[in-house]
Amino acid sequence: MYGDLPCPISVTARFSKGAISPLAFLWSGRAYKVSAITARWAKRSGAVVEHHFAVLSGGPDVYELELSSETLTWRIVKVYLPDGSTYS
Amino acid sequence: MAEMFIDCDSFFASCEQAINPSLRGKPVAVVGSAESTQRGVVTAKSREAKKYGITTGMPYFQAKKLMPNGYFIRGKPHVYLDFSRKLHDKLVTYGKYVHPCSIDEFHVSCPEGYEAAISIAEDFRAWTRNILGITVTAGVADTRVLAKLASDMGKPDGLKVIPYEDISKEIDALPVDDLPGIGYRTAATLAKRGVHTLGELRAFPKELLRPLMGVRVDWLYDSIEGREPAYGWGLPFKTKSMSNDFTLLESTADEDVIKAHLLMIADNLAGRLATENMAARVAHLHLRYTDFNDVGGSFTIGYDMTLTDHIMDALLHLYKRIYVPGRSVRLVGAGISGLTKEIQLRLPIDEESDIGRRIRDVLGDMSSRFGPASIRRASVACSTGMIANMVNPLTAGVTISKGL
Repeated sequence: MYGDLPCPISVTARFSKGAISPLAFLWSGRAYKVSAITARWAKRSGAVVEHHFAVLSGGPDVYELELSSETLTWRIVKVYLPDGSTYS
Repeated sequence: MAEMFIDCDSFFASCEQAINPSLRGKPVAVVGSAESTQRGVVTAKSREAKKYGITTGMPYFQAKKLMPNGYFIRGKPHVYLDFSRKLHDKLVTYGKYVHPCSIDEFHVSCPEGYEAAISIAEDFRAWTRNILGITVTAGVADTRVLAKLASDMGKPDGLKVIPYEDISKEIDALPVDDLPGIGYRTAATLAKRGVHTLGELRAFPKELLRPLMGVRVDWLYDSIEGREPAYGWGLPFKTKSMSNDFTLLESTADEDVIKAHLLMIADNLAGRLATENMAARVAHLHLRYTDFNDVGGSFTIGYDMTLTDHIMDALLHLYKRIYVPGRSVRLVGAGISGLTKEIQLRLPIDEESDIGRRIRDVLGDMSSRFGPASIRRASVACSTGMIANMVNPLTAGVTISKGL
């Protein structure tokens, strides 16, 4: 349904007052507008910090986006489905 | 002066419901890591899952029977830790003394009194609901113990205040073991004397309990009478113990596998000791057999343990004493306590201990720079399935640390 994950994506994001907010992302040729950020967290692996965002895009599926502080690249890593399962 | 206790409602499950709003209002149970979902235990459950009789620590298969249509989510410890950090950081902004009690519990001291505490509690509860998407319960009282009790009474998603003049009215009807710090053993001791509620305890002559409970009796009566027990408060947070448990992917009686898991735990504990620049004096071992019988013990060692080898020596001593060869084990756990910052070097101080210190420094450095899983002993890697088809140094008799 969603193709292979994790997958590099293009993201439009706002960096303001130390906070990062993804606004829209382009994945597999389709544009997704972020309607809400349901959660955000950071994962530290030694000196590298990965910023994670769980976002909605109009529907019930939740997309987990990841920004690496090391490479400054975005990936989509997981999709949380309404039945509680995840696609990854 | 008022004390406030903040307790998150079904914390891990609430985090999952915050991430995936489709799970809100549904029975959710958080279970072990990705590999152990089928064999792990429930680490948290949502309010809705509690109605099915799901309890924390219940094995997955049992929970699945009780709640066949429930939502079982693999735990994400790093996410919960990050949420916890945000809760702590927000509490600190109120400029009060904040004491983290666990990943989802905090004491906040408000010298200005009840009004200030209630105002902070209301603001914080609104913030957690709107920004993090989780709910918390706050308890406000004169003492920390009563504030914790108030938060238990106010659950879920509530704010409960126990003013000093209402303590008796509010708590006297509660069973004694509702009071934080009263476990089932103390409750049984009190029950034998006809004391079942906090009101009955208040009326019971304190001195009759002293021979049975020692100095704890002062703590107990101070707590129910609204006096802050005279110890501990205001001291910086101190790590008192460290532990680690592994539910094995498959139960085993293979002693190499069990020992390899012990070595992995010893390694983790030594890494944490190095990070906090501490040493330990007591080792604890916990094994759970396949029939869910638990065995365990502790061992006080005559020197400060800092290295993996020190901890492993103590654990193997316990292991030989406790483990019945041939019995199948499903969980291996170990811990250390008697922690101190005043490290005494293990005597005699020879070249080997210098090497040990250097190894410890390097391991501590690697652990903080690249993460705790960045380095493992080869014997752990092969016996726990991290690296397939590798010669097991445990059985081959190779001591990895001497080769480094």
